[in-house]
Amino acid sequence: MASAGSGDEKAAAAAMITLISSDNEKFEVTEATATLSQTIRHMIEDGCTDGGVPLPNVTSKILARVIEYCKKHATAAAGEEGSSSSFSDAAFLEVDRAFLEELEEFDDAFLEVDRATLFDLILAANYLDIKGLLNLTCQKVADSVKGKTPEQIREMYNIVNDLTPEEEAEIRRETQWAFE
Amino acid sequence: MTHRRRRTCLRPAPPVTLPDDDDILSEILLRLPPLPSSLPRASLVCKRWCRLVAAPHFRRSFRARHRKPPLIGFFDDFVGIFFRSGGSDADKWRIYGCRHGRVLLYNRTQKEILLWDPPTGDHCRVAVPPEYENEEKMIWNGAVLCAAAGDRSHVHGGFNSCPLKVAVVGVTSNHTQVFASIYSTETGNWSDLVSVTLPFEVHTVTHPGTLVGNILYWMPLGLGYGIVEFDLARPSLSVIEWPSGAKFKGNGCCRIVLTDDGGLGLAILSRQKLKMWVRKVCSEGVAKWVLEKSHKLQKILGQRSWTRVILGYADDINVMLLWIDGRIWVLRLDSLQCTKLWETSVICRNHPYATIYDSGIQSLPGDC
Repeated sequence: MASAGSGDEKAAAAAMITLISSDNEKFEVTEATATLSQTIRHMIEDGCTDGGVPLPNVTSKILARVIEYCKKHATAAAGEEGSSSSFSDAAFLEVDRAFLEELEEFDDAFLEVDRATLFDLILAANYLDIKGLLNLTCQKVADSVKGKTPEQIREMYNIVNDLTPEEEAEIRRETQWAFE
Repeated sequence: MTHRRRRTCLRPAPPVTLPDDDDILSEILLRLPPLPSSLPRASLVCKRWCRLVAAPHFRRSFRARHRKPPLIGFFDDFVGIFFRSGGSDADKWRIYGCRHGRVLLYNRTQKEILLWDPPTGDHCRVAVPPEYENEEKMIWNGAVLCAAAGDRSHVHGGFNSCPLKVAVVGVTSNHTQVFASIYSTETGNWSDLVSVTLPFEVHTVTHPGTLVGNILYWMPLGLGYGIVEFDLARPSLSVIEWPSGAKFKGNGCCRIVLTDDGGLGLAILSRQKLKMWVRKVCSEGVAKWVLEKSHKLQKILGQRSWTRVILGYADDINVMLLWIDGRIWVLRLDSLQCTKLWETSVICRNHPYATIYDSGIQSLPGDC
């Protein structure tokens, strides 16, 4: 069993939610972390989380990564809310910038995964409705396609070209300017 | 992914395929850069990609997502050659400017404006009322804009689905007044002609206008300096004074621009500096000019310069084209980022053109 929230002393007092992966592994997370997922937020609001939240579409391997992302970004959200009163504007901006840079570094490192994991993360982000994670992962795939020819894209993602030569010729004729 | 084969030590790893869900693939494709080649290339990958990219709701989302279109290129004044029907000078079209993906041309002889959508080649001609162009009056410039430009939620669409407004501006032959009128493609009507008397002898309105909110600003040229303000909503024409300290040599070194916060500004290029004047409303409610910034040109360009001309400016992306010492430069006014383009000895008025270039991508036969 993985206990993703166990190291966080502050979180001990906070409400905890149990997430259950498709392979029946249980993850204890704070409500703040869990509610980055709109799907789980709605379940909490409806009082449907007693006994754990089963996530039959997400494996433990992927759920652990998703929780890692949510924990980091939930801390970011909490920091934004709580820190403004204790700093002067300039100091606050400085802290803010440092934190955003740290978050960016985290996101970059987070995306260093193989394609299969990346696609599983996209599916999980979509199912759990975590907008930030969906944006991050979809952008990563879009960036990999950027500047590539149709042939290179097909090869990269094992896509079969089912366009007939006539259809291909027609598209090329209509959009000839893009290939000149 | 529905088909996941078990990996054995003898077989290679199963090929990694993109998620089957069309909504997810659309989310990915929406994040392609807004470059002209992005969507045509995607549509050639396979039938599924082609269908998703051609879907009207996808195209709408793609435009909404990339609200600030990329600079595609620029038109010079010779672009009118494409619209010649007979090849005689009588058919000559002059480009007045581009905005929101459309180009406006004018043919003085035929007294017609032409609205052009370069990606599709679609264009339409509109007759200008004869009283705008006669012995007493001469049209000197014009501006095209999307009729919903003030609506932040609006997404510019196709040539036929997106109503346009066209403003023309001219000078009376006695050199005392500037006049203007606006045409709506939605109603097919021209507004009443409005005019304003200038405090100096006025000859031309050479530079294209700058759109600030729902107001167009032009800089008429003559024996003095001033700015005319054409309020498109009313419509009405008025004169605002020139900033008293704003001096420059040559008309090619001054342009009305948008400020960082979307207000009225004036950029003046001198030998060493780029000065930015801003029209500010002070506490008494009176508007006045303030010299807000003065940037060292050497710092912006990364090198010294001797001769310089502003070739063009696009208010919809806040980009300026410059000719400096025999080379074209693109200057992004919001970031002051400068890009060096090619060398040329030709100094010609230019019109930067920006759009989300997604035309020509159509559904395959049989697709919904």
